[in-house]
Amino acid sequence: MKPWFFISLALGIAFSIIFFYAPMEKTQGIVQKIFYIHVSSALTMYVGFFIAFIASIIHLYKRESRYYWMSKSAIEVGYVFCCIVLLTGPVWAKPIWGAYWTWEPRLTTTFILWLIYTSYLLFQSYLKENQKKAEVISSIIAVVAFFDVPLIHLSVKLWRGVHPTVLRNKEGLPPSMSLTLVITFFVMIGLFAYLLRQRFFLEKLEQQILQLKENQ
Amino acid sequence: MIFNLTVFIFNWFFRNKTRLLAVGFQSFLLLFFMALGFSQVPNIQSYFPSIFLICTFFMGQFLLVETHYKFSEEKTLQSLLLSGVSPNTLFISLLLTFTVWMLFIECILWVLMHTFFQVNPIILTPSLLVVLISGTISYVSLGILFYGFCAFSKIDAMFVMILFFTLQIPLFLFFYQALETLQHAEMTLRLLPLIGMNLLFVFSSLLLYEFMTEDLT
Repeated sequence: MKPWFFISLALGIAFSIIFFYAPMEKTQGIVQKIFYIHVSSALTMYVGFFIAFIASIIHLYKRESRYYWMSKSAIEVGYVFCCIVLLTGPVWAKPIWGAYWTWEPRLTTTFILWLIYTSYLLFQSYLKENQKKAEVISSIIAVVAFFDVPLIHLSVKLWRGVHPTVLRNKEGLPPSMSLTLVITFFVMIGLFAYLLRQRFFLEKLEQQILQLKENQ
Repeated sequence: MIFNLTVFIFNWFFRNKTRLLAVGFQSFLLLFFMALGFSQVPNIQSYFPSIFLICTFFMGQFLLVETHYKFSEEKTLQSLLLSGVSPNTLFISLLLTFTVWMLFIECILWVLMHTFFQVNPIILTPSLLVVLISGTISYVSLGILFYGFCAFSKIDAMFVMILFFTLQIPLFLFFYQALETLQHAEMTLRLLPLIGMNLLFVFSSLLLYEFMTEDLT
């Protein structure tokens, strides 16, 4: 079975579970279904940035380009999930809070995280000329950027906001909702892994083409 | 005389369009985040930490950019490393120099700000010094690392400025909170993450500076 077919099938099953198995939330109604995509995308985003962090550290020690490709790919795919979080959040917030966006600590800090990785990607496109320097500098930036992730989470604890924290709350979710969330999360991780693999091989091919061009 | 001096200072600060653009972008974002401030008190004294931080940020930014610009022109850091100075020694010496300069500037700013805003009597308390030192060391250590990119390679300072700024936002938020709650009982709660961040940034920058100098010299 082709990986893309398997991922599409898993996504289809996940959406079916979200809409047909998970119970309808009494006060929020159908809009609450976004929660499963929103939260699992946020968790996947953190996984992506963590992989990039680890790969960058290994790259700095070993100086092997494949770790840099892994880091770059993980950030790019993680960034896509960060965008999904920032897009699904307002869609969910509008009917519940009455506004698409409020400058609430968690929303603001997630936006800051998005800004950090946006500048990383901007910097990447600028550094294309000298590959060796670009790899070292990018890995350093990826390491420092990841240090901001736990700090951002800590800031949410310090500045009490209106954003719900169901995962840390013991009585937050009924079992059927928790199960749906777990399944959606694993499907999102599967999607992330597939995209990461594709992006990694694309990067590898790009470098091979560049080398061939240089050898000509 | 005053007019000529003002023009001279502005010309020196905003020497080219890219720098003007970078400064404009950063000042907009910084003001934006500071104005949010997660604070609900609408009086001028509540803006004191924000204004203090904005001034400190720009002073530090110009200090770091100008110094590294000169380093880049004259290849000072490369020459020092080739003469046998270890990257760690170089980093620590740069960190100490910039921190002392920044603290000196901040102390002057603190007195000036108190004079303008008339918040409290001018007292440099130990808690304030801890906040200033923690915030400044983290800021400077990351600054040395990032502006090192400019000094060791031919990367445009504007890109580094933007990148450096986004990575500094969480630090500024903690710095801001610690300054805002300086007189309150919950100050320790705000101070601990700042000190933790300080240690994290200094040690990671020290390690990463070594990695950077390995390949870029």
